[in-house]
Parts: sequence; structure tokens; C-alpha cells
Amino acid sequence: MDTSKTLAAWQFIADQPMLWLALGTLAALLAGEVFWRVLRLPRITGYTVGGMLVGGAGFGWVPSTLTPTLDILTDIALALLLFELGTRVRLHWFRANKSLILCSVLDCTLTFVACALVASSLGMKGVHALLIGALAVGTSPAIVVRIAMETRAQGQVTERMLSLTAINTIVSIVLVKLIAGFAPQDVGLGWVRALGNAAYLLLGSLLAGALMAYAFSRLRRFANLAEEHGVALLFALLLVFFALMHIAALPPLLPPLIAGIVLRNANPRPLLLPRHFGTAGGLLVILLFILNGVQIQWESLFVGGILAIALIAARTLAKFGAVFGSAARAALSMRQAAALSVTLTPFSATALVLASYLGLNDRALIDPVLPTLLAAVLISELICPILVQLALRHSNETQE
Amino acid sequence: MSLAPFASSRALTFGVELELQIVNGNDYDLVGSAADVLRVLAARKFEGDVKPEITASMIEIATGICEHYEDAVSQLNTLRDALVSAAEALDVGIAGGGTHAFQKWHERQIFDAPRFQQLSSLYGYLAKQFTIFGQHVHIGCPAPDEALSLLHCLSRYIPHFIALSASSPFVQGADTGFSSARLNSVFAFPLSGRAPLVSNWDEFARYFDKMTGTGVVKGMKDFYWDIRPKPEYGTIEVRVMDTPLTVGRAAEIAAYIQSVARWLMVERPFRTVEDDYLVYSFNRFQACRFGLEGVVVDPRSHEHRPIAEDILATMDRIEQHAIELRADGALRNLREVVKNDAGDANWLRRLHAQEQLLPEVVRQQCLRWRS
Repeated sequence: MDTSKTLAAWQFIADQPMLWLALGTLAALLAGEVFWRVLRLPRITGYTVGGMLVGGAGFGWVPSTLTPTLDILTDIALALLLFELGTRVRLHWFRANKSLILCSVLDCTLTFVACALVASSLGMKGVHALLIGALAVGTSPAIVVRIAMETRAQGQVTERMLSLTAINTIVSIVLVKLIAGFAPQDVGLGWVRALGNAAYLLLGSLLAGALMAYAFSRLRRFANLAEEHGVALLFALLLVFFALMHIAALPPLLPPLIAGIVLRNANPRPLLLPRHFGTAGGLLVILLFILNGVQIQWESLFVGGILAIALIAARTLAKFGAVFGSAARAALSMRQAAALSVTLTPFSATALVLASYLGLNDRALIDPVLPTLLAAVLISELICPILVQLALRHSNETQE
Repeated sequence: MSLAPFASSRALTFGVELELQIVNGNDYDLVGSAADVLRVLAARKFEGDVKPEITASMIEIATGICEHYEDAVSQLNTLRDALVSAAEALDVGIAGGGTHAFQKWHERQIFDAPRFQQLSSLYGYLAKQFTIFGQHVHIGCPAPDEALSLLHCLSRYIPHFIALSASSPFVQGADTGFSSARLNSVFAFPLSGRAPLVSNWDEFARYFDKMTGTGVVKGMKDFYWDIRPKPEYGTIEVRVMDTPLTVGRAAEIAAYIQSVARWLMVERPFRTVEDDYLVYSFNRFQACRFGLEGVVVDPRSHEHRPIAEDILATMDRIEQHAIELRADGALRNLREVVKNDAGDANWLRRLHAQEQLLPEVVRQQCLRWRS
């Protein structure tokens, strides 16, 4: 066979995006199984590493034409995980155990202040430092929900991890929106617009979330959500809301989270949803972690690495400070407090989604913080699932 | 280890122990939070006896020595309130009931203490299957021989105690058809059943020595009898009851046992002979399977009669003793339960028929426990 024919054949194969996508996914899934079975490490770390190796190795197996579609898929997966997170929040508990409120307040405040200070002392300008601080407040819902479900964890550390994550995610999103409103070019009418933006985000999300919860609860009476056809309905409903949020230009983060919280707290009857809404949702969630790996850009480590590491250190200290600062009254043992602090450390990739939504209208705001953000998320996605799993395992809360 | 000497205790004083379920506030499955609950209670300088049990999702409360029904009511109320408030801080639920409706036994964790780990290694899955929740009632006896005599006389009333407390129709997610399915887990143990019929403590001590000599048992705790002596306390311990869904019912049942015991001790209406045990297992099975609707056989007259009828007849017979003990109020309440067949097992079944969701049944069990 002559060389040109070989090249042509190779070119033909290289031009088959579906094939590469399928092979890449397969490789990542296999990596996940190896991590889980051989190393007893979380599957999602395997997915991320698998995705990273294939994507980052420069194969470019995700063609740019497919990227928007894949972005939508991962956004749906994230919405799904946020909804599930919401259904684990019991507002009643915050009333019954005030130390949880204290812990939540400390968590958000300390993380925001510490990270903003670190960012500004390492040369970030005012609004960008604040933005970094706000983005750093949230714990990764994807990582904590997925690990909790994969290990079927339950207990004090798990429940607190989920509740605190839900709260800091909400606070982070609102803070980011507030700060984005204060962006330099808006000086003058700035605070009015900022508040207006934040109010739109909050009220719109609350409304959308409440509507979604209402629709879900009607559906619940109509179909058995533990069965396949019920799950399909549920899933379709989620997609409808997802599309509507797209149209309303609301980031698809707050509404599903709020919907979950409302659904959980409006009716005391236990809510037994199949994990990730069944197989279809499970697949999307897995895809989310693989694509997170694919999109990892190693260069960001060189550009934003130093600040990211400083940020992660400050953030970890803040999380420990918050948990231990409230542990005395929180009915937690020291061991549990340490485990809980660790579980709160995953830097949220939700921040990236949020940033990309902000970036749509304001590149000048987002571009300076993006490398740091990417680096922090990268480090966190590789290390934190393992830490979270170990922390839950050491608290005897996993059922593996 | 030889048998401890039988400590004397005031006749007819009593104590109640209840094993309780700890469930999560999410899907109401059992959750291994016993250590958390104990830690919260310890931090609150709480007075009272709360202990861990064999699996980490069980907890046991125990009253001190009670003279009267009201003592038990007030002590149990205090214990319940403390437990409920600790559970709230942890967002877990506490529930009565002889079994958890849908827990999977293999998911249970053995509580981290040497004795429990040891039991687990001996009994294997039986230990995890032992995630069941019972009420134990101690009755004070002044002397060991009287304790043994009372033990065997009370044996005839075991079906009453089972039927009145039965609250375990569901096991592993399914309706077993039993009113008290919990006891089926106890029967799996090799040393379960009834105590041997011996007439005095010396004879009992010889039996005990022979058993320890075989190496099969080390102490009284290794016998899983329906009623067993507790020499350290100077009591006999009735162990067949399911934990009822409320502390109120638990106190009433304890008061009924106390009243029957007084009648047996004071009037000595009969002496137990070995043939009385011919129908023992059958009667006990009827009570477990059908609750108050079960049929018991009188070992002497061979008469068959419904347990509900037998209980009402017994209550008539012991009424004076109940009044002496100030337990008549408790018996009045139990009469209503018997007449209306309103036991806890039926309550659970009705609720399940209505809700069609076992986690919701467990949730309402938690609410009922608080009332």
C-alpha cells in the first residue's frame, strides 16, 4: 500500500468525530472502572483522568461542531445533580440545630474573605479579587452528590456536607451576580443595576424553582416515579424547564437547586427518586465528568497555578475554620468535623459554568480570573473526589 | 464463670428496657447514628440510662426501678423527650416497632464494642439479622426460688404479652403476615426458647454449671430465653415483647405483666409442670402469627380460645391486684386495645394500605413515637 493511500485512509478515520467520541468515552469509562475496582478510588476520578488523557493529549477528539451540544448535555447533568442536592436539604434541621446556620454563615463569610484577600494580595484587581472570592465560596455539587450516591453514604458528615454545599452554592451564585453587576464600566448606576440583576436572578430562579417543584409534585401524584415510565416523565419535565431557563437567560443552576429544596420541604412524605433520574441521567452525569476531563487545559496550570494553589490553601483553611468554629455546639465529634471540613473543599466547576454565562456579556470581567479558576478546578477535580470519598469512608458512612 | 448469686429485690418492683430504631430523615432507612445520639446526650449531662445495642442503628433506653405504672410513664416520657431532642439536632428519627419495615439486614454495621464484635464473629449473619427491637420488662423477686416459680408460671401468659405488643408485621420490605415477625429472628438462635423447668435455684445453678462446662455458654447473657432470670438485679426478665410504637403502650404492658405477676405470687393459682410446656411453642406461634386474633390452647383443660378473650378473662381475674398496684388505669387502656383489635401491628398495616409507601409508614412511626 502506498503512503498516500495510507494517509488518506488515516485522514478518513481521523475525520470521524462520532468514532473518536465513542472511543474516548469508552476509554474514560474503562478508566473509571479501573480506579474503582483496582484502586478503590472514585470512578469519577477515573472518568476525569480518562477524559483528560484523551482530550489533553491533543487528539482533539471532540470536534468543535459538537462542543455546543456537549455543553448543553453537561449543563443538564449539572442541573440534575443540583436538583438532587436540593432534595437532600431539610430546612427543618437548620431550625432545630442552630449551629448549622452558624457553620453555614462562617463557611460562606470566611471563604469569601480569605479567598478575596489572597487573590488581591497576589495582584488581582479589586473587582476581580472579589469575583474570585465569590466563586470560591461554593463547594462542588457534582463531586459531593456523585460521591455520596456512589458510595451510598449516609450519616452526619454526609448530610451536613450536602446541606452546607447547597447553601454555599446558592450564596456563591448570588454573590457572583452581585459583584458582576458592580463591574467597573458600570460605575454610576452600578449598584442599582447590580441589585436589579441580582434580584432578577434570585426572584426569577425562585419562581422557576417553585414552579418546577409544583410541576414535579403534580407529576408525583400522577405517575410512580420509582418506575421507568415515571422517570422518563420526570426527565422530560426537567428538560422543559431547562429549555425555559435557557430562553429566560437564567443560568440553569439556581432553579433546579431551589426546586429540589422546595419539593423536599413542602411535603414531608419521603421523596424516593431513582439516582440521577435513572439510567439516562446517570449517563449524562458520567459524561459530565468525562467532558470535564477533556476540557482541562494544562496551560492554565502555568498561568493560574500559583494563585490557584494559594487560593485552595486559603479556602481549605476557611472551610476548616468554619466547621471547627461551630463544632463545639454542632454535636459533631472532632473526627467528624475534620471529615466534614475535607468534604467541603472541592472547588466547584459550577463556578466555570457561572463564569461562562457571565462571560457571554462581559469578557473583560471574566478573562482575568479564568486561568486561576481553571487551574483551581483542575486541581480540585483530580484530588478532591478521592479526599471526599476517604473522608466519608473514615467516618464509617459509606456502604461500599 | 459461675452463676452470680441472686440479689434480692423488692417484690413486684419493675423496670422497662426499650430497644429503638434510629432512622435517617431522608428515606427513613436505618442509619448507624447510635454513637452520635449518645454523644449529644452525654454533652447535655442527661440523667438516665441510654445504651448502644448490637448494630449501630439501634439504641436502648432503660428506666430505673419503678413501683407503679405512673413511675414508668414519667420515666419513659423523660427518656423519650431527651432522645427526641437529641435526634432533632442530628436530623435523625427515633421510632418504636419490633422491626424496621424495609431495612436490608446485610447493610447493618455492628456497633464498635468488643462484645458485639465477638457476637458477630460467632453468629455471623444472625447477628445482623438481630437488628430487631424488643421491650424487656424486669420483675423484682425477693428470693431466687420464687423467681424461678414466677418465671415458669408467667410462661403461660407469654402469648398475651406478644399479642399486646406486636408491632412487627413488615420485614425486609414485605408484609410477613405475622403480627410479630420479630420473634422469628430470635428463634434462629440455638439457645432461644424457654428456660428448663427446675424448681429451685440450686438445681438451676447445677444446670448452669453443666452448660458452662460444655463450653457452649459463658454467662446468662448467652441464653436467649423468652423469660430469663437476672440474678444481678434479683429479677426475672420478660423478653418476648416487640417495642411498642409509643412509650405509653410500653408502660401499660409492663403494668399488665406486673399485675399478672402479683396475682401469681400472692394467690399461687397453679404450679407449673413439664406438661404445661406441651402447648407452649404452639401458643407462642399463634400470638406471633395472628396477634390478638390468635388461638391459644389451655395446657390443662385443652380448651382452645382466642387470645383476646383469654386476655380479657385474665384481666377480670387479676383486677384486684391491678388496683392494689395502681395499674388499673393501664389495664383499662389495654382492654380497649383488645376489644377493638387496635394493636400496633394493625395500625401499621392500615397505614401502609393507605399510604402504599413503607418509608412514609416509618416516618409516621417516628411521629407516633413522639406523641
